[in-house]
Formats: sequence, C-alpha cells, structure tokens
Amino acid sequence: MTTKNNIISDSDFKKIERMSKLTLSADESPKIHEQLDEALKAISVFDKLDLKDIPPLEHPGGLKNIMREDVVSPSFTQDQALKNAKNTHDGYIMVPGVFEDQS
Amino acid sequence: MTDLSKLNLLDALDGLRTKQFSSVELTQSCIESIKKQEPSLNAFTTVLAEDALAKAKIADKELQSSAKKDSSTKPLLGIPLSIKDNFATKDQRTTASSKVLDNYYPPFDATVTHKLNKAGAIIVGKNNMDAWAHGSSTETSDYGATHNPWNTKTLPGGSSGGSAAAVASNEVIAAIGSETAGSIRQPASWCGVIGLKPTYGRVSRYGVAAMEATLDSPGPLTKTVSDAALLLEVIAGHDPLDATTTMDPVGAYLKNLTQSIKGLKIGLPKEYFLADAQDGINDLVKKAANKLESLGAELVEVSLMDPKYSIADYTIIQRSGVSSNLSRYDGVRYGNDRSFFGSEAKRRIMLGTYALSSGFYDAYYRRAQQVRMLLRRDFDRVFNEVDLILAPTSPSTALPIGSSLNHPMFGEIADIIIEGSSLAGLTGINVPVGLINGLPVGMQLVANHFKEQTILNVAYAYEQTNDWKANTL
Repeated sequence: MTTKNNIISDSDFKKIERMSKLTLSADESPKIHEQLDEALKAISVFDKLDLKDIPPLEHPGGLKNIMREDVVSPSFTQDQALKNAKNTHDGYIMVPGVFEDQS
Repeated sequence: MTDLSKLNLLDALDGLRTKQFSSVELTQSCIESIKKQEPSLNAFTTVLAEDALAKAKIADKELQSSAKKDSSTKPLLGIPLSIKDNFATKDQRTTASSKVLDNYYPPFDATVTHKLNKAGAIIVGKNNMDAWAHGSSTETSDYGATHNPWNTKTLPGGSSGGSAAAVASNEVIAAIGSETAGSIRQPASWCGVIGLKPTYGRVSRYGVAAMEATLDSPGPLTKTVSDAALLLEVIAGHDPLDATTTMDPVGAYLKNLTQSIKGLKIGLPKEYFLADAQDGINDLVKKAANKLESLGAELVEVSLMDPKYSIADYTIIQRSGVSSNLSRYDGVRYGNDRSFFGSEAKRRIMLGTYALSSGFYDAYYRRAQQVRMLLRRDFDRVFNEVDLILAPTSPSTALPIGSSLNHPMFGEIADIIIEGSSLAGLTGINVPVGLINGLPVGMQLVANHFKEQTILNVAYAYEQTNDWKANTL
C-alpha cells in the first residue's frame, strides 16, 4: 500500500479527499499530502511508550450517560430555521442531489 | 473624564454604580478606542456600535432605577465586552473568522452569550481569531491577521488573538475567548493580559463553533485577576444544552479570592523550562516563582512527561475532532459550501479523516487516546505531590507577523508547554510577569480539575506584589 516515500499512499490520499468532501487544487494536493506525511511521522514518538493495558481516555471529566428529561420545549420557528439557507422552496430547504455523486 | 476604556472590570462596575459615569459614556469610550485602533490592530470581525449604545441606554435606566444597586442579578450591568467570533450571537453575524460562515446570522445565542447578556453585559463586537480557531497566531483568519498592540509588527498569538489584543489595547473592558489547547493562555501571554482556561466541562460549549468536543473550554481574557474571577462566575455552570458540563456548583471565585498562599506547594516541571526557550523567559518565570516563595508558597521541582508526547497526541486528537465537527458545514442549511475552507482547515480535516478511517483508527486515534490517558495519569501523580504547577506559558514572546505561514505545526510548537494540561482537561491561567524587548512574558499556573480558585489565588497574590502597571499598555 505505502510507497517508499509516503506514509499515506496516493490512493488513500484520494480516498480521504473524497471522504472529507473536499476538492484540492493541483497545487494544493501534493503540498498537503507531504504535510500530512510529515505530521504522521511525528506520531512515531508513541512507539517509545508502553501502551499495553492502558485504556483510552475518551472524556477528561469521566462523565457518562448524561440524560435530560424528555419534554417539549420552545424551538426555532420555521422562518428562523430557514433564514440562513440559500435555497428554499415552499418552506423547505432545497438540497443538492446526492445520487449522482456515487463515484 | 479620563479615558474610561482603560478601566478594568471591577473599577468600571464601581464607577457605574457610584454614578461617576454612565454606561453610555463607558461604551462610547470603548467604541472610540475601537475606531481609533482597529486600522492598525484588526482585533474585530464585527463591531456592533449602534446596538451596543442602544443597550447602554437601557442599562443606564436600570442602573438609575435599581435603588439597591443590586449586583447579584446583573453583575455586569452596563459593561462593554467583546466576544470571540466563534460564539453564536443571535441575529448578529458569527463567522468563526471563516468565509464558510461569512453570511451566517445564527437564530440563537451560545450559552455563554446568553449568560453575558443576562448579567447585563453589552457586547460591543466579535473578535477576530484564527479561522475555526485552528492556530496560535490569528493570522489564519479569513479576515486578515490581528496585530499585537505592544508592537504591531508582531502577532497577538491565537486563536483568541482578537480578544487578547482588544483587552490589551483597551478597546474593551474585558473579553471572552475559547481554548482547545492554548488558545486563551498563549495569546494572553503574548499580549500581556490575564487569560483563564477553565477546567473542561466548567463552562458550556453550546453555541461555540466546535473544534474538538472533549477539549474546548470558553474562558475570560481580562486586565486583572479579580476581573477573571468575576467573569468566570458569570459564564460557568451546568448547562442542559451541553451534556459534558459538570453539575458541580460554581464557586464564589471573586469573594473567595485571597492573597494568603502560605503552605501551598507549587511544582516546577523541569521539562517545561525548555532548553531552547527564548533567552530570558525561563529566568523571568523563575523570578516570579521565587516571589511566590517569598509569600509563603513552597517550590518543588517535579517531573512530567516530555512535552513532545503532548504535541503528537494533540495533533491526532484535535485533527480527528476537526474532521468530525467540520463535516456538518455543507452550505445547505447555512453558510457557504466546502470550497470556502482555507488551507489550514483542509489540512486538518484531511489528517483527522485519515486518523479516524477504517484500517488506521487503531494505529492513530485509539493509540492517541491511550497516550492521553498516560498524560492524565502523569498529572494525577504530580498533583499528589503539589497543589499546582508553574511554568512559562509560551517558549517565546510574540513572533513577527508572517511567522505561522507555511508552518503547519506552528501552533503545536507555540503551545508545546500548554497542550498536556489541555489534554488532561485541567484549568490554567496566564499571568504576565515582565517584558523582554518591550514584549510581554507570561507564566502559567495549572491545577487539577475544578481547582480554579487555587490558581486564581496564586495569580492574585502575585499580581498584588508586582508592579502591575509596568506590564500593561
């Protein structure tokens, strides 16, 4: 998978660009690829640590399963909810088509 | 009347309550200061002059009519403040300094915004920041760099650089910023103001454009320690709209502020006094530590994990959070589409997406979470020995404009001795301790979860002995 010089292979880089829903320019792409590789190289310091039996820290305060009462409370009006949308129609937000984007 | 915008928060409150001046006069003074200085500082993305003056008029009526001058219900009545532009302000433009949100007018207030309004504060404007808070320079803003008021050829730090510069230059009485890892303390250090990063979960994140959901902490940037104590009281507390906020009651930080620090054990982590720090910084911070010793505190040398682990760990955790949090910006419900992201955001989204993707998750994200546990345990161990930790906030004074460009790890290096405490969710404060070549130097005091009072007290004790005026513009 990985080529000699890259941590992230070219095909993986394309894949994360697609998953990120970003379109990089021809100038940007090699530069960002190189910078990501560089950042990942810095992670190699972890290799010096013994992480066996160390649980992951998911939340610094250790809170778990915080619930609130399930009650109806005031919310946005339809006007407020639509106010910032560029394309609306009859009180709905118009969204771009999604089915043609199945590359 | 002297220049009212130069007042600190407590003095301004006193002046309003004793009718030495009105909120309109105070607010007008800040607006004039902003108008005069903005061409050289660019600390604001939006100035709300008209709105602020209208609110000041109402505040003056309330100040007039409240016979008892009751400060408990509206502790900030009539005070002009500014707030970082990643906090939602109802029907006022909120950009997070990104063109993606260039035209976004949120239909709601962030909880912090709501609490400030409820306390009677007057928001005079939204502060410039690194776009999406991605940076430590405030020059990745899509609205141009903010300049440091101590020397406009230098950076204010970031990402809350606009808030720090606005306070340091007396454009406002105080400001609110947010920190993920260094974004309050580091600009406070470079601009010579107090910057308090509360414990994660102490202040609600609701309505703050999210960077990393297990790190983000809103907090005050102020001219004095007492001001920070009061502002924290106002903005802290459990919020049903942010499930990660603590139920622990909010302290009476201002009332409980004390200079008595006798017997407190202060740990000086030897790894945080970097050998390659700028000349003079470690010395000034050690001098400040000695001053605290002369006040009765005990200095203890301690050892913490090498900060290089924090940098690597923060890089993975933060980028992963960015990838997840910025995925919502599609330009459909609000804002512009994803082609409007700047290069810094793109880089961070891509790295985070990689670290979270199937096949690489265990090697990167999960491993980073394990390292984060090690960092947390490392601090736990040290807090068994000492009450707080003292170190420089930043390894340098403000760097020249342009320093962050083309340096993807600029922020990580600038915040190298802050990141560990952020990853562990701790509270920290920057306190100015002196100047090098006319630029401020800061020390950070860091304590365990919810020990805000401890670091406020030590900062206060230091502030009372220091020739504070030498460190302010």
